[in-house]
Amino acid sequence: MLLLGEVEQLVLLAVLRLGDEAYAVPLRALIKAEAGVDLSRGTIYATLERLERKGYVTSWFSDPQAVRGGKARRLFRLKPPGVAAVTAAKQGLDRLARGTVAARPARRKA
Amino acid sequence: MRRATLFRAALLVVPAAWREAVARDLAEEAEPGGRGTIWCACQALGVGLRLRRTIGLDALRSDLCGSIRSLARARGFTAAAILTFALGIGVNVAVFSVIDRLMFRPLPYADPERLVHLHTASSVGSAPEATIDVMIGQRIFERARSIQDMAWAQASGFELLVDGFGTAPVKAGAASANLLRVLGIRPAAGRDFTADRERPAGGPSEALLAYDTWTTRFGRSHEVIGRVFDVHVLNRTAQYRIVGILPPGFIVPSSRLAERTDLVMVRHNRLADGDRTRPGHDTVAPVARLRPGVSREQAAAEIATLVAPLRRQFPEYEHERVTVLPLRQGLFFLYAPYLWLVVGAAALVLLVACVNLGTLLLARGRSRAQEAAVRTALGASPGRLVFAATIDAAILCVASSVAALLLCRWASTALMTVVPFEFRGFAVSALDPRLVGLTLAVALASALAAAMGPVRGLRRIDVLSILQRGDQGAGSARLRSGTLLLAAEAALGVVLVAGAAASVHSFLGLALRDPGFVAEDLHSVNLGLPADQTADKSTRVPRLRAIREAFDGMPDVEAAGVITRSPFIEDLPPETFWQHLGRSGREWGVSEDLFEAMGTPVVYGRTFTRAEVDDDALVAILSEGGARSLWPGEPVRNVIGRTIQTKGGNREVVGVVADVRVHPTLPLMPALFLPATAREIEAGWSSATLVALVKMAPGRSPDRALIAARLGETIGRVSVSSEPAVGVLAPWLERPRFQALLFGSFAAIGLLLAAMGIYAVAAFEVARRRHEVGVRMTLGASAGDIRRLLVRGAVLPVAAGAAAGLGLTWWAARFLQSLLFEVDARDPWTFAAVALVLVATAVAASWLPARRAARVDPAAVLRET
Repeated sequence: MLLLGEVEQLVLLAVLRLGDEAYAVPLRALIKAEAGVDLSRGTIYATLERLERKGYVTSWFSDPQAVRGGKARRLFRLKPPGVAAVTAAKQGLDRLARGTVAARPARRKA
Repeated sequence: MRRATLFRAALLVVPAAWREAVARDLAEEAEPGGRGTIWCACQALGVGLRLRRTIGLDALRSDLCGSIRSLARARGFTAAAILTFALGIGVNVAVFSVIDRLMFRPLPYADPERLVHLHTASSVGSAPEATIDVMIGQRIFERARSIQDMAWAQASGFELLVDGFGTAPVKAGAASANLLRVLGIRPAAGRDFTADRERPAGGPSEALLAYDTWTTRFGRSHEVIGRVFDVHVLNRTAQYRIVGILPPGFIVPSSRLAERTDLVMVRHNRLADGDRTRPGHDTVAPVARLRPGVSREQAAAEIATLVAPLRRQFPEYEHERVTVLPLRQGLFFLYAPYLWLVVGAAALVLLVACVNLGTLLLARGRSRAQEAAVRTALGASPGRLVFAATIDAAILCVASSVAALLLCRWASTALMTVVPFEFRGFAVSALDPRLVGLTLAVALASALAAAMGPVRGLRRIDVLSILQRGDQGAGSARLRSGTLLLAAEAALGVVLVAGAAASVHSFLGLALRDPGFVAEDLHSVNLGLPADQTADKSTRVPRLRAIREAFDGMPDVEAAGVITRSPFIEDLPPETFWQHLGRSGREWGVSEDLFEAMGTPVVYGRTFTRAEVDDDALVAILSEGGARSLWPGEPVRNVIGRTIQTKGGNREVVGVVADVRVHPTLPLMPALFLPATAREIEAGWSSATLVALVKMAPGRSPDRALIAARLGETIGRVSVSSEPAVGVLAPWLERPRFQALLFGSFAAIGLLLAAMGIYAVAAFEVARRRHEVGVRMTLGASAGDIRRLLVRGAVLPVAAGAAAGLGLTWWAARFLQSLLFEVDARDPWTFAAVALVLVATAVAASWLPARRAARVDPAAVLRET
């Protein structure tokens, strides 16, 4: 199995979280909100392109907008190899962080 | 409306598969934030470029891996292609590593555009040099307002022994004290020369040490700066203080190129003296810095005005024209035609290699056509196919370049032995960053050129016909391209082979030319006599006899004779006897046995007797050229018994000897030989240096210590040095030899590449016409008919190319002619022979595939189809 880059991991997890509504706009917003990383739009699209070529995600087009000249969304879903890859990456990180300060839960602010 | 058009235009940058989704997403983001169409267009542009970069890089990686795998599978083709291109580019790497510093790399001086070189041109010794007469130089130095300062320099013209420098001789040059200031540079360590007027009289003189010598002999120790060294030249010793270290990469600005310069010794700047009132025979090679704002043309015009009165006043200057050239051009103009010819020939070899690579790629393109058809059917764009076709050539060219660079680096020592000595000091390592960068750039450009053929073929792909019937449809088009390339290769090959034939012929003519003496085992022993006895003429005979007797009975000495100056040096003023007659010539004093030692035949009459030499009898010997010069039109034998008037009186000509020609390309000088003790001979005696020419047993050298010891017992302390006569001749043959070797190698490489290209095209032709061959043999054609058919197919384009190449050679001959010796670059017999060689190569290279084709089983071929 190929190693996943950090950005690829973030995008795969975000696609997993969003389920059937995963496309570029909410993906970017979710990654920014949860991980605090502001990825450029180009990075999001390029990563999705690469992940699809690797066979980790699949895409399909939604119904087009109900207006003249309406455009369709391109939606993404994880494929089993993608699930396995991101799971393995996450578990690997958890094992590595065991017993270190990185494994301690984040303190809640009073 | 316009903004919408702008957004649509920006969306075109986005790959088609993403365009609709990106447009929808950007529209969704733009609305809530109140962002306009301009924002959408900018975002679309950014997203599109990023996507294309990602897809492009991935495609590049994919195509690269695919090409490497494909080339690794076709090992024979890959090896042949790398070898052929490595030959072509390796030749250029080797040539460029020598000439880059000479011709292209910026000179290591400050503001070099304001530096100029002044010269007429003269030939000094074995190395030509661009100089001007000292009197003219002084006039320019004194009065030229366009010139800020003038200096002069000479690269190493002599070898010295320097105490403390080790046993290897030191090559020393000379320069005026203001040289570095004129060049605008400072020493790497220590200080510059003291100005002439500030240097204290007496005491050690000054020298600058070369950076490489400082590194190799002194380990860059600063202790050497300020040290005083004893420098020995023949019987004289002088002291020099090292005052500084020259910068790394420093080039002595002298048109007399030298293999290396270890030491630059300061000399008085004669240009500043202003003391010449008459033309002399000494010259100087000045470097000048123009004043700011003054152009070279303005300086040349002013100098012509300053020199004009001297030309009117002195007949010696009547034809003198001072040339003002940019410094680089001035330093190397004596060699420029030769170097440009070498560059041209190397470029020709590269061109042949490119054409050959293109031919090989074209032949390989048969399998590529099917792959291209499949990829096109699956949706690949034409650009993607072109890129894939080009990347094969690029991988091959880069691999060849790396192989060539490593080979040149590994073989650099062997390569240097064939490079003329005056160029060796300028060579850089094959792994020099500039050279590596340039090689890779040339390789990639060559890859693009070589891939043109296969790329053109891809544009005419008929997908349906190829998938149904294979690539026969495209084969004929590819064949036409292949035959055109063959013809081009043949044309270029003719130029190379013709150049080689002329160069080899010229070199052999020089090498086999009779020099008038036997150089094998002949040694020139230079004797520095004690200075205190030289003024007394009564000591001439005893000293001469002491020198002759020192060699009597010496081990391995077969014959010896004495001459008042070395016959191998040309840079001497015209001799008194000939100058009196208004012509150039040479005059020597010789002992009675000199011609025997030299192996110079006495053509008519006899040589001197011992008594005639001892008594300074009024006799003389002439060379054949001398006899013809004095009595033109008369048979040489008739001069015996005639009288000539010399400064010492009327002398009877008792013998004529063969002309001695040391420098085969220079005009022959008439020569006069007098007894060594002749009253009118001053040279040699006045400078306390005589020369013994010694014929040794084969392979032996003179024992200098024994000679010095024997002479020490009779005439006092004598310094002794020797050099073999073949060493004197060698430099004159070095460049013709190099030229013959270079062009011969280029021609051999060109022929090899042409043969490989012909073989590849012939093999492709055989495969393509397999069915046709089967049908012909079924209908009754014999194996011989098939062979003739296929060989003719290869030979005809080569013959046509050779004919075109002969025309190209006719045009190019003018550039080669000046470098040939008594050979016509347009000799028709040479042309005919070269064309035959090319055709024979074509026959030989196409024979094997033709023979293979004639062995096919026609029934099996017909069954296949």
